[in-house]
Amino acid sequence: MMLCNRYNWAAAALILLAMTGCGGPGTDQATTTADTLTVTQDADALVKVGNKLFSIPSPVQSVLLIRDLKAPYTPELALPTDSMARFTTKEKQAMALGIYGADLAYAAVHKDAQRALKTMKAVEQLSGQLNLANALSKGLLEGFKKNINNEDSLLRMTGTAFRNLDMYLKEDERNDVSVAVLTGGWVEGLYLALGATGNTLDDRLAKRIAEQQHTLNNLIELQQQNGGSPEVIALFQDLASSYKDISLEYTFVQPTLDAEHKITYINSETKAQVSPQALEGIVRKIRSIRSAIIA
Amino acid sequence: MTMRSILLSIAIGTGLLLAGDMKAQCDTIASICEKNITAEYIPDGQFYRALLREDEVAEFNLTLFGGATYRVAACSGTTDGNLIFSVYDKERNLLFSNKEFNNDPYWDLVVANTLDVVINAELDPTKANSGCAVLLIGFKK
Repeated sequence: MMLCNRYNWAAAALILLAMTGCGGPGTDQATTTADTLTVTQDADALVKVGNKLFSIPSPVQSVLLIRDLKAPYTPELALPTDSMARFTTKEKQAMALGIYGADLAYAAVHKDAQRALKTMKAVEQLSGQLNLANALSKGLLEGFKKNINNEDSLLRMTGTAFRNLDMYLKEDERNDVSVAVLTGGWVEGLYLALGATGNTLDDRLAKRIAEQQHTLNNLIELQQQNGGSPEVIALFQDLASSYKDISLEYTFVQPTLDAEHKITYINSETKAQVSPQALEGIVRKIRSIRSAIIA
Repeated sequence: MTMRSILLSIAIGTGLLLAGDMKAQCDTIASICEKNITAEYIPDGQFYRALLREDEVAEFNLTLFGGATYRVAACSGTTDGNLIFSVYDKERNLLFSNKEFNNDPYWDLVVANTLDVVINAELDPTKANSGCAVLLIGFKK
């Protein structure tokens, strides 16, 4: 048995040496993938990284929808920045970080400089608690102050900062934190949109909520694959159960190409059918999830 | 020091070097690719990467919202044109492929109505046989 182990170690070392000593750079990189990422090869030659790679829509898009709907700015909707001590677990801290990202965009779009700066400081503080301080540019806060009246710059800086955080987390193989940040941002984007528009739900907002069905399923899968807590996953599964009453009818329409300007116009149509009762249930659950994750 | 511990040290050291090499490679490509998300686009706040070899295909799933313009930038290696990316709807209708445009590293998608898409990314076999593929997405108000 011991001899067997010794051979195993020798074989492992020789394989690793062979990987570095032989072949071109391509060989090295391919092998590194196997060491650091979950790479499997299906019959159709599809590589799945962490099984699947999903994009969760940016909360900035929800904030821009709020503005398009001309909903009044309600700063009280945002998460207060003076009680962060309540976030005691890594998952809660990461979700709060995502929430503040959405709040930052909300304040920036409404030119609330004071709140934007406070929120930026909260982002920095939570990043430090999550050992992510190195992922943020050192001059970020200063850059924010300089551009405080320039909405476009602030939104771009916010997007870049969160992308850098995401890159840092993924390269550090902390996908659990990455997914929790995305979760917080996604919930807050919807929460702000629902709160800002009051009790009467605009048709465009109702449609946007219905269109989250696929994203929600993706988010649950990401949480399940990346160590989301059972309590949090259960909340989102409950929300997904309400989405079963929504029907999205998709019709493919040939896209139009403008090669000169490198643009493709996607003309396909999607019709969402959702009953007021189903929508009401979804809205209630989104608010309830937000309360639970900040508790 | 026993032979076993020497071999173990070599194995661990080599593994760390390889992991560091991959990280550095993806970092460099991300910095290059970022230039394609120009100032008029807001980054979506996420970083997508996959390590590809030969004919492997990476699959990126995303929802594109109606009324928005998205810029998709896809890069591998330190020069443009190594990565082929194709956008499909959920019925696998091809909406766009940069293969028809010399593997252009970025393209804009103007979306009339919200839809779920899959972006497949693969290395151009005539240019590379393995490498880190980076996908970045920005959107316009």
